[in-house]
Amino acid sequence: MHEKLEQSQYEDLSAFLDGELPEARASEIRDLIASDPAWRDAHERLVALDDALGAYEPPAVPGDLAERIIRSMPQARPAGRWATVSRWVAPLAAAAAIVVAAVLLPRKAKDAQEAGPTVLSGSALVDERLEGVAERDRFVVENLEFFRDYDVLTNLETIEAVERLEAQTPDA
Amino acid sequence: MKANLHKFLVASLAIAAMSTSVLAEAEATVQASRRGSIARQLMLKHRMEKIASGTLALSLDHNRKQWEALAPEQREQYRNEALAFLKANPAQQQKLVAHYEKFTQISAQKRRKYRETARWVKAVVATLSGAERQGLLEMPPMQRARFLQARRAELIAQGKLPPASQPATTAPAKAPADQ
Repeated sequence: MHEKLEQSQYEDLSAFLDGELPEARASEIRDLIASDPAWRDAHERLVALDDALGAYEPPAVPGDLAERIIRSMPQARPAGRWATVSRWVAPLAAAAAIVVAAVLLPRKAKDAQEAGPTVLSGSALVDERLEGVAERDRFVVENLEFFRDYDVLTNLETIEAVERLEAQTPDA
Repeated sequence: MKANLHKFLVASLAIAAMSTSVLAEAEATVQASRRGSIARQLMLKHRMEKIASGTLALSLDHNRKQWEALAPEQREQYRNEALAFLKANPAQQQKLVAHYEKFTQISAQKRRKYRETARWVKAVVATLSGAERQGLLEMPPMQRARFLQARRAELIAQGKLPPASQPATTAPAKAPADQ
């Protein structure tokens, strides 16, 4: 851009050369080119550039150009739908990662805190001794004493109260 | 840059909004599994005690033999009890385990007596209506005990329950748990 012209003035000059300005403004531009060295200099530069571009003849495009370009970019991402989707997938994935991290990591830390230190569970021995017992039944079998007396355990306070009553009235 | 940032923020909000219902559902699952986890942690304590005393292998072998000798319906009953235990809230689970510890520390004779009492309590409760059972749950233990004793005496008098010295034969039903 010419150093002495404003951006808007330069655009007006370019439009003048393209014949896009109203006659009133075009007349003003002609006066400025004739009277103002900055305008004249800018005008000469643009005309020279325009001439140079007009004289340029591009080489003929080979018929297999598109195919050659595609072959030369085997690792390029597929265009079209994937390009559209990928523009959303990246931010969505990033957002999901943040949401998951924000929600799950504190919970996981809390759970770990509640669970306390990891202990040797003796699972190998249980697996060995209960081999052949259905997986769903192993908890019951290992704790059979507990579930055999489940009726007592769920009613222990009542049973103790009955015992106290019977102790108060031995003939009951 | 601004467009990417805007896209990111919009996506974050959208995912946060979509996640609300999913997280609520996940929370329920986590609660359920956490209950089960607590129950297993409590049972793990007993396993550790058996490991410490060197009786775990013996206990497992013994339980396995007993399990294999059980009738299918008895196995099913224990499975259902295990399921009920795993589904109970953590406070109830802890209470039941505390009851178990207490129960194992009393004499064998007293344990037999408690089992016998549990049988007739179950039989008496089986004769109660839903409203009566609910009322029973709301009573303090001593009042509940008096009510059950009185009802048992009525049932014995009516010939619907065997006398105190004989085992109950009324079809069992689930007794309401202690509150």
